[in-house]
Amino acid sequence: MPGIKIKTQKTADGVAYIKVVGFLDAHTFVQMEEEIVKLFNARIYKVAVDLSGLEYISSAGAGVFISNVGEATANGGNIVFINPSEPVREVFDLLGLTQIFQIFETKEEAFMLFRKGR
Amino acid sequence: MKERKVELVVSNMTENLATVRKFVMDTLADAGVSEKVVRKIILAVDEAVTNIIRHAYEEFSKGTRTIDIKLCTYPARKCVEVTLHDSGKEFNPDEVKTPNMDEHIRLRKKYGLGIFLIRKVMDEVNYMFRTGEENILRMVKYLENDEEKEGDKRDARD
Repeated sequence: MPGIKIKTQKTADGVAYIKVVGFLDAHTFVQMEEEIVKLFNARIYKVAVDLSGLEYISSAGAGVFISNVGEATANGGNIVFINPSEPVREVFDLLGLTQIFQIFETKEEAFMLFRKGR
Repeated sequence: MKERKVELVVSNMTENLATVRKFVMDTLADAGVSEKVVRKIILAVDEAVTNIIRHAYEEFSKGTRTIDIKLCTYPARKCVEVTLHDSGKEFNPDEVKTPNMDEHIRLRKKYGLGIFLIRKVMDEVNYMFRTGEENILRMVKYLENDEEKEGDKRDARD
């Protein structure tokens, strides 16, 4: 069954890089939510999510980022995206998220934003 | 596009969303519908089935109720029609307001965007219900309209 794979790397300066592969829907969103809550509990609020391997996202999947970005920014961090696949970008466009969330082409560009102190 | 009339019945479990998406993808790809349009219809059906599981069947245990999905392609009318039947609580999409994304973020909302997406990607969305018996959601996508409508649709921030 198509599911989801989530792999997280944390850097010494408090930035998390999450690589998510597969399908983010009303079934699998719970795993993504748990991953983000785990980071917040460890007081890591600078989160870069690599969406290049995400094949599908529904509103339930997008809801994880929408409902958590406020907590990240309130604590001096953010949730940003790296290189969303075409199907994911289409859904973000439909929801207007491309105008709200910062999207980077590479991991390095996303990390640069966080290292500038934002 | 070739004519297709197929049906899938699934139980009220979110595990079944992957099966539903594969059913729509395989049927429409086989019928000759473009990949981009198929993706939109998959999204609408996934959102609609998710709503039935979460709202219409909210009070029922997982896997105890059914959702009937009928998928038809009409080459003469150049459209794809999806009809979903369930026997849960009535849920009228016309009563759902257009969401404000900034407010969603401020209030840290997890849900409430499914109907908005369905309306954005499909051309017709109708809902009928007979209380306690049956809810019917009918969605239509006209294929030739798709590309020209792309630029016209407004997003959640407007």
